[in-house]
Amino acid sequence: MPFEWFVALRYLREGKMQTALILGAVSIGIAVVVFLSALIGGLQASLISKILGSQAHIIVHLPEQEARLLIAEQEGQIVSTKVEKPTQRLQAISGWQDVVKDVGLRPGVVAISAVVSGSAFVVRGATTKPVALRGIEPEGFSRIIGLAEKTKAGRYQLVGTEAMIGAELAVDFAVVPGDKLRIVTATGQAEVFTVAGIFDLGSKDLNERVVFVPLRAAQTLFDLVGGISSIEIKVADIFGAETVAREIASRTGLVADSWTTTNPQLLVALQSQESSKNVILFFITLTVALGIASVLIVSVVQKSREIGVMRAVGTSRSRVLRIFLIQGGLVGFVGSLFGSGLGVLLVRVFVRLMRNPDGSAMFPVTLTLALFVGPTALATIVGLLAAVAPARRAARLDPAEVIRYG
Amino acid sequence: MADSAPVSEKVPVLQIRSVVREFGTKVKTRILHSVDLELQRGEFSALIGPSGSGKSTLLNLMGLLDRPTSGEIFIGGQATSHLDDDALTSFRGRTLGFVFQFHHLMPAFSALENVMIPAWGDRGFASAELRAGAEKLLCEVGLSERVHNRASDLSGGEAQRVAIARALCQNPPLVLADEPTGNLDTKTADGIFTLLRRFNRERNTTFLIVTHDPRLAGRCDRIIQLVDGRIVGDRRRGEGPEDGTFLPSS
Repeated sequence: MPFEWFVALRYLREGKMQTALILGAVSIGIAVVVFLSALIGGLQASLISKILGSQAHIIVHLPEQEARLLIAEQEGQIVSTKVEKPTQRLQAISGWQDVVKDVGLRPGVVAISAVVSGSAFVVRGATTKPVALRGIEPEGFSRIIGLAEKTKAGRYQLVGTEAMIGAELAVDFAVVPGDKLRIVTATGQAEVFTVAGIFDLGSKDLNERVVFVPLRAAQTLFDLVGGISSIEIKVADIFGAETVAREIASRTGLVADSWTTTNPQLLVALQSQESSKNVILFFITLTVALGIASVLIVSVVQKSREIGVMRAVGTSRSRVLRIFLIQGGLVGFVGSLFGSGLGVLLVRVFVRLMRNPDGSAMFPVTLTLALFVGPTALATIVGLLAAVAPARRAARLDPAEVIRYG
Repeated sequence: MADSAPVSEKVPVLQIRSVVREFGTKVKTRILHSVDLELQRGEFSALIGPSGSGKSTLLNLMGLLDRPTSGEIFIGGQATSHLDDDALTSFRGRTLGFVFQFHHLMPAFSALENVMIPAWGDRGFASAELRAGAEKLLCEVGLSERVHNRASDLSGGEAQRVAIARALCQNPPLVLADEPTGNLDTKTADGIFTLLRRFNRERNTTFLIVTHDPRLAGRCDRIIQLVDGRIVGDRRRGEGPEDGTFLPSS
């Protein structure tokens, strides 16, 4: 065994009480880090899944239509004291196939789908309900919000005049897969659709309001044959959505709204959670570092004469330095292993105790390898860094002086 | 076992030339005044002198634990002033052995591990050869039964024997012993002195023993007397009167 490792391990073993105390401190610190990270990560994933799981990360559409003056405005001449904004008509994005092809190749874009959206009414018997009608390409769109997995009855299929409706709407109209519904647009265009499947987007409002039909059927209903009203995109890094959106807007000349601009409160909530986690992480790391450093400084003082003898009989400064760096790193590493185990235990106890009335877990927590690798690496590095000052102190000891005076 | 440092029989093991040592920056205190000294291979010498005479300072300089203000120290003919700290540490480990008044063993280490420290700490790894050599040394100092005992479990005399074995681990040409029997009872001290003498004869290792004990100094082949930072006496056995007054008067 290398000399430094042997001495470091022997010193840690010799100072059992000190080693146990600092390992305990590191373990508790890392357990809290693992527990908090798992909890906050779970909450964030749950929030993101609930809110962004049923919508695209970026929606690309045409700019709002502006009123155009018929007479050219001249200086000093008032044409009109008030210019009213025009009502927004459904307009097709020209050359959308090229845009979809181009944007689909951008780094970070994982799914893209052309959509036709508009308002319509669902009519069955004497019941009429307003809905948001969305014409989609089933395959591409499913990759954006996972509609196939959210289909609770029937099947996820949109061919010809098939439609997918939400669970609440199905209850309102008392329909099951295979039943017919009539959809009428504001301009009077109408078509009878067969309910292929019933979905649950996790929101009562969405389940009541949204109806999906094939893209071509929606194009016919909204008189946009061959055209689309928006392009919906899913990105790999949700926090990078705004950057991707800006890039798309500048490339295409279209408006690209990311979820961060359409859901600013969600972004603030996620950022607040992340910030509070980082603040806690910082203070725990600082406490662990100070704990390791203080124990090692005491060790250097206690062992100064031994260090002096080692130096006198031929052990270099750098080797003495490494003896204490190894101790710091080892305490950090081993402490983080214990801490990871303790963290898992805490998470399991917490999940078991915090239950909804129906018995399901109140906090969805997923234990991933990243939850342990990060804190373990951090604790090891912190241990090494915390040992730098004591190790330098040990390496600088004057052997003649410490052998004589201790 | 460690190779002996390549020191020719003709070249002095230790040469000190005009060594001055001063302490302090604003107010300088000169502890050693232009000291010259040579130790030949196989010599068994004593360095004596009253408290404050500069013995410890000279010992630290000879042991390369300190650097002179001026002058030069040669070990085996090699000048040491130009060596950087790492080179000096390695050179010290291979050419010098130390025996301290208090054994200064690592209490958590076994006797064997303590003996191996100089070579192990210098090279980084403990070879089987080093381990075997260290065991042999422990047998030679009469501790074959204590090889794996922790240093903290050994008696004072046993610990000092381990310290002697540690000093000889790298088979250095020069061993510096600072009051090696100062902390032991008479009988144990006698045993330790006999052991040092034995290694001196068997290995031709040069020993310099710093001592206050006139009886111990009187049993050495040469006595160097230091007073107020100057060597005031340097006599070899046979050079002075043979009536038991070999020890120089202080």
